[in-house]
Amino acid sequence: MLRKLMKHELKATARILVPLCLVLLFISVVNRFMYKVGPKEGIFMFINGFMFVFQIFLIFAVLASTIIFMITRFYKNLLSDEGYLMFTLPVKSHHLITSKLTVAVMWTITSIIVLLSSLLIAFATPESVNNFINGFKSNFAELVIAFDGNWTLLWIELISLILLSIVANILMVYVSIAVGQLFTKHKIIGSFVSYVIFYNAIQFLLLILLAIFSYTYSGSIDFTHALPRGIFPISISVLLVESIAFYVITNYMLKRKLNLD
Amino acid sequence: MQWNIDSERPVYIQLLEHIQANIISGNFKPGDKLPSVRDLAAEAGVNPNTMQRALTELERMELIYTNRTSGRYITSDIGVIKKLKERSAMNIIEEFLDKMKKIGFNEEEILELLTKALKEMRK
Amino acid sequence: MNPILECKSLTKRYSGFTALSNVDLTLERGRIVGLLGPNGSGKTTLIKLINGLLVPESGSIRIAGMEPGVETKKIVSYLPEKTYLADWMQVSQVIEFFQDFYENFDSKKAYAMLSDLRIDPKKRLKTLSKGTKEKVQLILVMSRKADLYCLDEPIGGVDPAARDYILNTIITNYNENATVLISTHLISDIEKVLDEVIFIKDGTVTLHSSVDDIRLKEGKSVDSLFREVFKC
Repeated sequence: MLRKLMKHELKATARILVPLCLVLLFISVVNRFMYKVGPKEGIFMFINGFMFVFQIFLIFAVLASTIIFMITRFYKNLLSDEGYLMFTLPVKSHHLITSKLTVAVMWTITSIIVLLSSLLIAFATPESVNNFINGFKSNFAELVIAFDGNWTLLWIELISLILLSIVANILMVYVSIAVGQLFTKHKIIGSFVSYVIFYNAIQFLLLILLAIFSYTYSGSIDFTHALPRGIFPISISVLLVESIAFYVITNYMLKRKLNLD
Repeated sequence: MQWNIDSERPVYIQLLEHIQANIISGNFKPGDKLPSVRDLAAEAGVNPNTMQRALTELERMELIYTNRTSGRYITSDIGVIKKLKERSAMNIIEEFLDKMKKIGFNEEEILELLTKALKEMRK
Repeated sequence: MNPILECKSLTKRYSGFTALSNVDLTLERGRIVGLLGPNGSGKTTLIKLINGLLVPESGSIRIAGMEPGVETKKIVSYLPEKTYLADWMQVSQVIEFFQDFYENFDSKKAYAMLSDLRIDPKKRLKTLSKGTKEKVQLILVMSRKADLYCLDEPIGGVDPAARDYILNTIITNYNENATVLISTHLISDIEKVLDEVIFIKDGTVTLHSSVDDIRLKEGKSVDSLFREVFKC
């Protein structure tokens, strides 16, 4: 059932997001062509400038659309009239959540890749790529030192951090919507208010934990080791607990407190 | 066939009467096979259970019978049908006499009027 | 065979307002039942409870002996009053969707009904009129071989010819294992098709009787009785 839900979710979201990504990539290719090979005088100066701006605009559009679409998709498919269809399907409510979460994570990662590719396609030169790689290498080297040379641990923690933060952020949106729908006449405002509360609660929690950490260990750990010993593990733990908590709360709301109009 | 079911009387009674009328008039001939309950119900626009109730009653009156394997049939017993026809006629006649008496006619007057009407109809 | 629906002391409250109050109700299989009552009487609440869209405050509700959940959703086919299909889908895609999620869905039957009502399966739902969308939803619901059909106002928004078609579909779909629960205002249109009716008022069941019993005892149609009982 989960697979079927994911398949349907992909179909429903791809029809909007795939064309958007394709248009962005197309413009990037066009821009590269014009940038490298195309004419640059007269009217073409204007066209080049326009295309450049258009591409930047599209990059923001893709990013914004992915986020906004992911939010509205959850609300529209589960909590508006379509909810009458989705919640009478013979599927468990947590499958509904998981299917949307996985597809949303996938699109987030995809849009970031498309975004970076677009920049690369349009503007990359051998020197700029070199500079970028060198800069990346040196920053990375510092991190490895902080981790006492433990590459694997660094990679694991970095990837966990990135993935968990995507998951946690999406779940924060979901739980806010799920809580907001309880307020019959004020569902959208309810969602916004819930989001603000959840967001600040997590920020506050992180702050407290990091403060406790730095107070407790202020003497025993030097600055270089603060990241691997403190900041990373605390952030990852918080994100993990936060994700689980939001997931459980969202499921409870949808299973026992569903409030379709 | 038009099934006219009014809204005041129980549906199954009206279904009963409708089928009886069709047996008497010969629309349903003796030995004819009846459609399935569902098809009859769909034709009449009524609930299948209600149609079933009417059919069960007709079976009790021996106007239809069920063959376990092939379905329901109108009885081939002409005698039973004749009795039904007669009873039906008697009901109409009783109703007629009742109404005529209420208007104020006596038996001779009724017979006279009846003969006159029949003569008119023959022309 | 066990009853298809059993409600015992079923109660549902919404922030202060009691929508259903201690409802005791049993529906046997193989019946076509009318759920009749004015707006706000609790009809929709009861149907939502049957479909697991609401959770009761107290009391119990069982479908084929089971609590509302994944297993009951397999055997209950629900037609809500709303348009609950995604606008961007084509009719054929929706049929595929139902085929995917419901084992007991008969797509051949669905396509046959679409052709009877002259609806083009290639059309996108957003291009169809409201009445046509309602017909599509009804076709989807009736194409499932379910044990309990919950139809919320199935004939309200359609023309009289389609209405006859729909009632005919309900009759010919009949089997003694399944029950159809119809919630409606258009009582006179549907009375002959019903086995039983349930009158519901202010969250309680005030009457549960067969149509013919009512006609026999009261000497009037269910529609007339309803107008009397629920006079404004």
